[in-house]
Amino acid sequence: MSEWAIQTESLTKHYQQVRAVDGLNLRVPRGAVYGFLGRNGAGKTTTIKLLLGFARSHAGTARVLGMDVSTQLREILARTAFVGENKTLYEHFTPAEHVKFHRGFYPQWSDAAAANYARDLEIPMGQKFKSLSKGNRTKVWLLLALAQNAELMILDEPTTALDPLTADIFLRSLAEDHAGEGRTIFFSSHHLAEVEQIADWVGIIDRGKLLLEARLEDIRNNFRLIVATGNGLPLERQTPVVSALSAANLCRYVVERDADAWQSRLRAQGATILESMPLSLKDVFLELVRKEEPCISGNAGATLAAPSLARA
Amino acid sequence: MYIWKCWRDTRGAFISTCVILFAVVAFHAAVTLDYASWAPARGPSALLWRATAAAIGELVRALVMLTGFAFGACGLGEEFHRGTVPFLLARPRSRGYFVWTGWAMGAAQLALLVPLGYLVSAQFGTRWLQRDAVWQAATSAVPLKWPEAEAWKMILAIYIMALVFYSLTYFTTLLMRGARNGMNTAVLVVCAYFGIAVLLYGVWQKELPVVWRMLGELSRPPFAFPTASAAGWLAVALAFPVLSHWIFRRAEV
Repeated sequence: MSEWAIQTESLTKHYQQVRAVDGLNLRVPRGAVYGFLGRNGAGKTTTIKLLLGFARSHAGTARVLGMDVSTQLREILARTAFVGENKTLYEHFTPAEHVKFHRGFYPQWSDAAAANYARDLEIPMGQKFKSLSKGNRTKVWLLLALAQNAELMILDEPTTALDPLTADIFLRSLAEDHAGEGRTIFFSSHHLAEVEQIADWVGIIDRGKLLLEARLEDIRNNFRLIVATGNGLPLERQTPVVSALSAANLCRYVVERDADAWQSRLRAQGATILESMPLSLKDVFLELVRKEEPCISGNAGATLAAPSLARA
Repeated sequence: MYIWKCWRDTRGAFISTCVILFAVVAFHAAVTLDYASWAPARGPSALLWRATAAAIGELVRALVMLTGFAFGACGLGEEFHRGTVPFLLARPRSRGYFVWTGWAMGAAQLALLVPLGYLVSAQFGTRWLQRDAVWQAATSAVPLKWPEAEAWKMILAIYIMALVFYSLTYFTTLLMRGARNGMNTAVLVVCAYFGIAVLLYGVWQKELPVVWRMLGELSRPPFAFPTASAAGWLAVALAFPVLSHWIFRRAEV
């Protein structure tokens, strides 16, 4: 059995000139709660479409639960729960009818779990879907995915339109009922707080490329922002440097580990270290997806400063 | 479960179509079989009344054709318009399963509707009006005696005609990814085909096969079932779900 619940190799998908997914190498360990982060249009939904066979890749491979998406899709889908980006279901069905339709496809379906989630999430099971609020529509999707008892859950922005209380109930259900039982949860989100609440792995995608894939614990403990000044400082993105930006003679680096060693190396090249500080997930996300390109941003004086320097 | 879902999706259209069709064929049977006893049918208006009966007969034929269009537009392609395709395709079934199950549900509903329409017409005539049943619904001017063994021929011919329109619309709805565009395209295709057929005949006296010509053949002596023509149109009807399967297998959502 593969140690990866999801594994992609150079996965590529383009729409005309736009590379929606560009050589993606994703590794989602079995049993992980994996938060897939990215801006709007970063490639999150396209990646999910490729993983579930909704779209075909132009290059590369994708394996889910150890099986090839292009040849074993039905086996994959039998063991995978899915919540879509647009929370659209059948308008003329009630939630109870959605359950009736959905359960027949999945042998692991639990009626007891469905009843519990319907109660906990306060879903009006007898009301037509078209008359439900946005939040309740999302809840119906979540109910269907949760009660499926799937080995892998692929959730595309699952908390869209949920109020904070319901989002919390849902996230706790995910963490306790599913992640606790060794199932894999792969979810995309814009909400860094909820990723920090339940994820143990994080992937950050931008413009179709995976910028970072790391344990959340490693980010909290080891990631550092280093701001240095000097001439001819290195700008290559190579281990341990995750991101390097430069303007004039001011450089800022995000390093994933060995921050002290990296600072020593910079000093050896004549740099002065202005600041070295730990980063939150939000800081890392912003550092990685900020729009300035290395070496070409002429206005980087303010934004290139470390958060504390910028505030000063 | 998908069969149940297809039934749930289309049951409203099916039941309303049944009600409308049955009402029209019953009225038609009453007018055709018993026109002399109807007040408007006596005296100088009798001719007008018979003309009305014939027009209603044509209406039944048009209604069966429209039913084919309507059922086809309720098919799988509408899932794209509703935005429910990702939900559907997340099920562990092949895409062909959805195409053929959806198509079979509509074909089965039509298979039920056409004989039922006939039975309503015939029963209405024999039981309620206490007349020797002469069924004329959905046929042209010459009535068929009922219950003669030939009745099935007319039922089969009408069913194949409805199936052609249904399958065409099922395909165009999938192709255009929505019921409205799908139905418009299907109507356009039928009109264009009919226009070409008329043009060919008018200019070069060449005949293109036209599906409702089967009914005309059946209505004329010797009332022989046009087997070759029916087989050809059945093949056309079956070609559309094959094409739909081909399209849907390649569709990205």
